[in-house]
Amino acid sequence: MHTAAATTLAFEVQTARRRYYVPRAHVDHLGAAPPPESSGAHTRPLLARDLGPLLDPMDDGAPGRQALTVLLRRRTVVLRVQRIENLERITVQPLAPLLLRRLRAPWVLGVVLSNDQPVIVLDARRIATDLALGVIS
Amino acid sequence: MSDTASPVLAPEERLHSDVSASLIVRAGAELYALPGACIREVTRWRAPTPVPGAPAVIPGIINQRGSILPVVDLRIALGFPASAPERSTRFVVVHYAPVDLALLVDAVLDFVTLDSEMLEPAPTGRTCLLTAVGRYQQRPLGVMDLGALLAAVQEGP
Repeated sequence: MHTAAATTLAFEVQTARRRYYVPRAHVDHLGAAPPPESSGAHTRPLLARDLGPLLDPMDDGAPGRQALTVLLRRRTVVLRVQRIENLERITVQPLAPLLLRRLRAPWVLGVVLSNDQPVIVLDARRIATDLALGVIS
Repeated sequence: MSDTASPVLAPEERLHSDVSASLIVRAGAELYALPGACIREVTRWRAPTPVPGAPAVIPGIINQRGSILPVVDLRIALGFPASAPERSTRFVVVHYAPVDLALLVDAVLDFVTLDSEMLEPAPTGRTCLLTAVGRYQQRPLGVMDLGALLAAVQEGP
């Protein structure tokens, strides 16, 4: 359980309808989004998904044009987003325990206040792992 | 520090809990009294930030004067459908040690002192979230048991 604010470098990313932060340490590569699913020239299977609808079914739009790539031991997972806006130093506050214990999956590291608005900080490595394991489709 | 809400009161204890000063709110078509001692403030609705994987009863979080509070939709907690926000929709900021939250209600109507002699024990069933029932301006009124409400939200369906 997270009990104190923590400072970290994070990418601010924009999906079709939402904004999130993803810790820099969770991302291995940034770049243009590859096709939805391919192995191609990659040495490991590549799994690509749009981040927005994974997190919120209402957050659906055109396929993401940019990608956050997470390298796992046996797979490469690409999380597509509309835009990668900034790399910022953020102070992550924990979610209220009331909320934390009700989450369907542990994909949220905490929350950041940005222009007085709460913005969710994602555990991208956990999301990528769950995708690779087929926990989510 | 434990983050579990205070224990739920037994029915006979509930009736004698602090229900004198109460905030009258509307959820759906029904009226409820919230214990005044737990109310910190009432604020206008603004879109909460959704949290991935959160249940419908917790539609998101808001920033209230620098504190990030989970929003609990009282209508869904009571088994009513959620509805689009209206001009009257409010957040009632509640502190029920050690939990702080923003309770989403359809309207805030009044702050009153309830005469406990006019209240009756709540019947069983869905109304287990109530400490008592009574009337407000000739309309049925449920007196909320915040401990039971938080326990229900924490435990989930």
